[in-house]
Amino acid sequence: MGPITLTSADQLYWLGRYTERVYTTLRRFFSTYDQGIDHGPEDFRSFCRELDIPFDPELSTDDLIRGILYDRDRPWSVCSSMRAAFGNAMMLRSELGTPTTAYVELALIRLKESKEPDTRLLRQRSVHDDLLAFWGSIEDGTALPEVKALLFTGKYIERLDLYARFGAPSERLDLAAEKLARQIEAIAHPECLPVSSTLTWLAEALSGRGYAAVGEKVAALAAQADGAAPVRPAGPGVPVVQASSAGRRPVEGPAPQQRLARAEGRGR
Amino acid sequence: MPDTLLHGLQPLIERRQSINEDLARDGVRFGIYKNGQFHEQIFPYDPVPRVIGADEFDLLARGLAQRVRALNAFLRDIYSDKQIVRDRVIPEDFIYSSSGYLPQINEVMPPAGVYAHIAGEDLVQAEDGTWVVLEDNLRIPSGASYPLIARGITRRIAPEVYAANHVRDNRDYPDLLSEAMDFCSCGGIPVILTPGRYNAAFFEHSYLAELTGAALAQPSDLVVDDNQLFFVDYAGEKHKVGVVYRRISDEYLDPFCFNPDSVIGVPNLISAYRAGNVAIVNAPGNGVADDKGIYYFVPAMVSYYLGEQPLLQNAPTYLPLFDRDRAYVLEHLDSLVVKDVAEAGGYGVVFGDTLTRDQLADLRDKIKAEPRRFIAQEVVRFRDLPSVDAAGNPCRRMADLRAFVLTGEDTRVWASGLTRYANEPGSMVVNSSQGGGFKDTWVLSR
Repeated sequence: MGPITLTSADQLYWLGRYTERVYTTLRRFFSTYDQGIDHGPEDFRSFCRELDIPFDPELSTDDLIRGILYDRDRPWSVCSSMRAAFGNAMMLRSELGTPTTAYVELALIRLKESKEPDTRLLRQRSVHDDLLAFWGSIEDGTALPEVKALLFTGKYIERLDLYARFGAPSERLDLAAEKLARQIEAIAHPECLPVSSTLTWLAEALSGRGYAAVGEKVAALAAQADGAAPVRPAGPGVPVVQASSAGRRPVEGPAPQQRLARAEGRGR
Repeated sequence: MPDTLLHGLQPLIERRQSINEDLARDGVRFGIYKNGQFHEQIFPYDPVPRVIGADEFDLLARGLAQRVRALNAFLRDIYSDKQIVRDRVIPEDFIYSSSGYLPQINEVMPPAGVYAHIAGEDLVQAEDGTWVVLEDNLRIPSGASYPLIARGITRRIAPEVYAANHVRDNRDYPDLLSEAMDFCSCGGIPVILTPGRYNAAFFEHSYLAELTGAALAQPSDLVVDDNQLFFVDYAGEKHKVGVVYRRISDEYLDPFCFNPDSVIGVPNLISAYRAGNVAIVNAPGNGVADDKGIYYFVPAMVSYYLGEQPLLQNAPTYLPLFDRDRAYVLEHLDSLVVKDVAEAGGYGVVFGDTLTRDQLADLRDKIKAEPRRFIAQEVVRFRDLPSVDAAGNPCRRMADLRAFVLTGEDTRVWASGLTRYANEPGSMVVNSSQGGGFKDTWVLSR
């Protein structure tokens, strides 16, 4: 394991983003699917809107699901994200170790195996398990602290973006922002990576979706990553986002808390 | 297989699905280009190992080490005094017409004087038990990682098999490789240079980097400055490289020295090498020694450089460039195997007994027109090995052995190797690119 190259840093960042994208999208899919059992495919309309996925009302539920999950030619499908994660992971064997990258390989295998409608949800649970094991293996493994930080920076950037799209309670975004801040602190030279520009983009996206306080917090991280004086975000438990901020979210749909409750299969 | 030396292989066979699942989980695969497109596939694995007894391996290892010592001596000679040519042991035409000979590195002595740090020696065992060398691969021989990773998996899945058989542990390969790299290092970090994911052996590049602790570099990660090779980190800091185990062919290694169109090389790498500031494993220019035509002369090299009788023999080989050999080849073409010296990976190999009369005539014309391009060999009827087919039924398959010989301070033979078997019954084409699979190679400790 040598010094971290620009190529590896980029791959670590994107591995973090893609694995989080698969994990969180699948969780959201579970709950949408659950709602659809009672209400039909209409629930997928908002799911698609949140993820900028084209929604075709003419499609059967099964075709819709297959497109969302398994269409490898669509960049927004879960399958495409999983393959992209895998593509990065296989380049990082020497940084992460075979026992760790194997979990990404397993997640890809399990996702492919989950195409059968009868066992779909059961198999997808294995994908979840494998991704959790992957992150745990990194946390507990021999990878350099900076390697971990680069990967988890990507992971929490993606999480913030997706949680905001799904309208999660602001406390959840706040927690993710806290974790993101800790990861960025562990990167020795964030100013040498496009971290700052990504965080600036994220801050604007968060503000635009009604999470102004979290957006400010992320903007502060962007300044820090750019080489400005470190700005510690507010500590855990500090309510930096008010529930009312969700009202400014430009995307139509239920209020954030309500949407997340539905995402987790609660609230009905 | 000496069955009397083995006990209870059945668990390996019964649990082959678990083994294959673990191989897939660990990403054990190889790439192949078909119709211009890159495909990755799992390397088929047969759980029944090739078994080599302790005494037999000792003899084999001595022969292999002897052969590689002679080849290293040949390379030192051919890129300096060329005494073997002056003494007419090898015609100079065979040197200068070889595409593997690189005049650009003439008179360049590699660090520590080693050219072939890692040799992949392809052998078969004839039906009478004699080992015969088919090829010396001294450029970028691949394959060690497959039996290496398979061993770890099978020991975990079927430990009782290893408890019952005294098999030498093969998991010292990364140590042997590191020692060979350290020995020639010019001071600095070790690096494994890969052309990237779309190389057939990328799994091996990344796995060996993981196990040796070397940095895995793509060409864009390396830069030459003031005749020193550096590995550049994301912050732009440069780390001196002492040894680079390159997995890129000579012609693409440095666009300023070899192929100017190469986009996977490191500009000025050869300048740093010439200046003695970095070791390249294997050394550039080794292709002249593993040329299929030069192969003919390796037993003579052993005698010439080492003053010893060769312990291992070549397959009976004919060089059409020599009048007498050409006459024999043309007359017996239908019973010989003909190899195009410019090809590798099982391509360009033609068995005369499979050709029609017209095809034979066509091949004769080609040999007459370009005699240096071909060699011809007697077909060695090699042993087939016990195997299991996809359904788990016992069968037999032809197999070769790629043994790995590593040279640092000493020349050492890895107590294992890649056994490649043919996919089809009776076939002798074992290359993975042609559908072949692999077995572990057991060397018994007693």
